[in-house]
This record gives sequence, C-alpha cells and structure tokens, in this order.
Amino acid sequence: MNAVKASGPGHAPPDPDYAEETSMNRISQLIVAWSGPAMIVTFIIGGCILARYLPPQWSPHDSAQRVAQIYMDHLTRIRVGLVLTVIAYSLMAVWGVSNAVQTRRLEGKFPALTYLQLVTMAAGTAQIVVNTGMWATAAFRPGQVSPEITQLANDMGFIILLGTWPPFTVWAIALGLQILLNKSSLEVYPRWSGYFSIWSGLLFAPGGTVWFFKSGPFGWTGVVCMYVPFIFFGSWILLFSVLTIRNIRAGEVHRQELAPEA
Amino acid sequence: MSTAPPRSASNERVALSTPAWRTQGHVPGEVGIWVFILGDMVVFGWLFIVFMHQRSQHAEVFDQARRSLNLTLGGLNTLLLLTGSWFVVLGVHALRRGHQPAGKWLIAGAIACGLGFVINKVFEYHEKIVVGHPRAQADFFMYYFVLTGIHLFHLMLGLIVLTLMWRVAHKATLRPRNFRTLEAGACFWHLIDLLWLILFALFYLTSN
Amino acid sequence: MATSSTKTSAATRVVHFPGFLPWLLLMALTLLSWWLGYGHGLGKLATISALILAFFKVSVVGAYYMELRFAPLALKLIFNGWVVFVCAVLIGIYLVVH
Repeated sequence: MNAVKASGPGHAPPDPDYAEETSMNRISQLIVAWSGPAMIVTFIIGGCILARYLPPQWSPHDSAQRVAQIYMDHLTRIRVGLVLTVIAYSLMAVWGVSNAVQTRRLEGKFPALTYLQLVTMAAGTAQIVVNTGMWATAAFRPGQVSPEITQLANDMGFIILLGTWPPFTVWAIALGLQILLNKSSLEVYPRWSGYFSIWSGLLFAPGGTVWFFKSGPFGWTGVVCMYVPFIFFGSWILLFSVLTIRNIRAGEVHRQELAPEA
Repeated sequence: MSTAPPRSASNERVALSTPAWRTQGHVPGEVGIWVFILGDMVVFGWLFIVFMHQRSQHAEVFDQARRSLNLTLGGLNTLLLLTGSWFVVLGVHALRRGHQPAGKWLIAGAIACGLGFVINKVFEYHEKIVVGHPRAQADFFMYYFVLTGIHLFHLMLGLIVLTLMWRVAHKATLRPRNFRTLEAGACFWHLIDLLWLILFALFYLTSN
Repeated sequence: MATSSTKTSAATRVVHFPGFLPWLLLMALTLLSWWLGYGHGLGKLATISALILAFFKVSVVGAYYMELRFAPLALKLIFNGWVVFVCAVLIGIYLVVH
C-alpha cells in the first residue's frame, strides 16, 4: 500500500522524509548556513575594497596627521565600506548558528559545547561590530578634531579587531572538539574537519601580537598578525558553510544518535 | 561438535603476524591529525624562512643578540624534549603489549619532561626580560619571543593531550579507537619536539 | 614444557626497547650541534652543519617516533619533502642573502 501523504486523525503518519524535506527547520538551517558566504562577499566589498582596512591603508607607524588625512581624503568611501562591514560582521553570528545546530544533534539535553559555541560567537560578533564602530567614529569628524583623536579611534579599531582573538579561538576549538569527541556512529562533520577547526582556532591567536608590535610581520600590517588570522578565518567559514549546506541538502536536519558506538 | 571454525594453519599465521600499526600503509593516528600536523609544519616552516631572511639582512646584530641567549638552557631543553618523546614512544608500545602500569608511568614521565621544559623556559624568559637587551637587538628578540612563545603555547596544549593519553592508559580494555587517540596524541607531541629542534638550531646555533 | 633460562643482560634488554637507538642517535647529534654552537672557528660551516643535523633529526623523529616508516608513501613524501625543502631554503638564504 502506498504511503498516503495526508495527515490528521485516522490517516497513516506523514512520510518522515517528506516532512524533513519541506520542514521549516530545513529551510531555516539553509538560510543561516548561506549567510557564511554572504558574509564573506559583503566583507570583501565593504572591508577590503571600500573601507580598505584589509589590506590596511594605515600603518601603525603613520603619524596622526597622516591617519587623519587618509580619512579626510576618502571619507565617503570609508563610511560606506564600514556600513557594509558592520553588516558582514553581524552575519557572523547568524552563520555560526548553522554549525551549532548541526553539532547540537550530537549532544543530549545539556549541550555544553553547543552552548559554548553560541556564547563565544555572540561575544566575538559583539566585539567586531563594536570595533567597526571605532573606525566609524574616526571617520566622523576627521580634520575637525585633533588628529591624535582620529588616530586613537583608528588604533582602537585594529587593536580590538585582532587583539580580542580568544572568543574566536574558543569557538573554533569548541566546534572541533564536538566533532572529535563524537563517539556515536553518526558523523555530523568528517573527523579531519574537527582537526582543521582546532588548528584554525589556534591560528587566530597570532592576532594577539597586534598589541605589542608596530612593524614587521607582527604589527597590524604584518602577515602573521593580520593575514594569517583572516585567511584561516575565511577558510574556516567557507569549509564549514560547504559541509553544513551539504548536510542539510542530504536531509541531515534532525537526526540524533546519542548512544556511543558499540 | 565444535561450532567454532577450524583453525587453519594460515589463520594461525595471521593471528601471530604483524599488528595493525606495523603494517605498511598504516596512517599513524588518523588522517585528520595529519591535516593539523602538516599544516602546522607549513606555517612554522614559513615563519622559519621569514626569520632567516630577516637575519641575513641584519646578520651582525642578530649574531650579537644570539650570543646573549643561554645556550645551556636551550641545549638542556632539547635533550629534555627528545627524552620526553622517547618516553611517549615507549609508553604507547607498552600499552600495545598490554603493560598498563609501564604505559601509565612512561606517559607521566613525558609530562614531567614537558613541565621541565616549561620551567626552563620561564627562567630563560625571566632572565632575558629582567636583564633586557640593547634597542638594536629588538628585532631579534621580537622573533625570538613570538616564535618560541607560539611553540610554548603548542607545548602546553601538548601537555593537555598527554594528560588525556594518560587517562586513556587507565582504561581496563583498550579498543582500536583508544589506540587511534594514543597514536594521534603521540604524533602531536612529536611535532612539538621536532619544531623545537629547528627553533634551537635557528636561534641558538646560527652564527656568522 | 621445559623453560630455558633467558638471562639477557640489562644492557641487551634496554637496547631492544623500542626507539632506544634512535633516541641515542638524537641525543648524540644534539650534543654535537650544541658543541657546534660555540663556533670553534668553523664559521659558516658550523651553522650549516647545525641546520642539516637539525633537519636530519626531524627526519629521524618522523620515521621512528611518529612511525612514518610504516605510513603510506604519500605521507612519507610530504613530510620528508618539507624537511628537505625548508632546510634547503634556510641554508640558501643564509648563504646568499646579505
């Protein structure tokens, strides 16, 4: 007898695959997962092309006059770029939820590592949204205030962006640990991606050198301090976006399996 | 009538022949840990090259700075890490053969070696920071502190990994999944050892 | 079943410990490089030797401690490829760049 797709009293229960295929859960998971790529595109347009702080157009060595001058010369471009940047950064937590939802399936009623992911992604998003506000403050009245003030706000942007790496590192490690500590036979993400997540998390840490150095590879114009964390952060976002979207497309939306492999 | 399959001569040979970890083509630990290890090697390799390039452009100053480093502590640290790594090798082997007490003690020994390294490093850093160094040597010490600092960070993670391995060593029965953990953890510890071998040569032994 | 008394000396038993010979080699090479660290008038040769010894030690750690001896060929090639490449580049920069 063919399964009847109607529901309601007296009918056969709805086909679970059909339910999973069309459920709101699947669609909402897809939406949040796609905000990863959306975030990257928006950030490249806003942060790289328009506002130009990656690669940075200011160096820690620049005089206060020079910093203020750059803001004055490119005011509109920078301001528009910062708007797009803050939107991109706000999408970060939206995207982060997609991974947490997937790995939530691995934990039971009190999912510590999922909670950890959620709180650290929230903290991280708050930080970088605020630090974009610092740059916006620098771009508010350059030339009308003392250039030292403009320089201070500009410095704060970079110092907070890179120096507050710990929540991001903890986030990536929490995700990695959830993947690696999984003892059930349900593999939400491949094991190598767990190692990659932990490794990426560790590579956000060199951003911390921004507080100490103004030149060379360890200042904010430096490869180790600025580019390594950003490149790995971007790769990490892309990787997990791909893996998550693949999971959702394959229908892995609800399935849980908490018992350890026999 | 026995329901067990008759033990043929070839079965006996298979049972006595090479265990999984000794067969050619066996990935130590699992593939994922090698993503991590090789990736880290690439990043560090590139940092080494950046340092050497910088050094070549300021060879005199870098050499002077090098001479103010404590070669004894550096050498001792190298010996310490190598011995710790050997303890890890012995420990994993012991656990493979079912010698649990030996396995536990050897892994504990490796942890002790790691802690010894940390203590040495703290002394060295303290000595360096308190005595200070001429401004001209600032670049050398920037690289020195950042690179050995990142290594030290890895080492502390390694100590956590060793502790996890030590806990695994306490289990009553060790399954293939446990050996995967032990091998992967051991490989991570050996990575920390091998990175230090190069750091030692680059900072303490490279002269003009 | 008759048991034969196998009174192996302590030294023989230690030699058969897994990884003992590699460890001995690594320790000896470390002492040698440590000695080279004092220069002894060898100039650039001391540094080049120290670097080559260091990377050779890395290779030994990989082969015997990380058990790459038994690993798939691809992994052995990548690992040792890194060893050779980084060593060559470092020595190259050391000799050429001024």
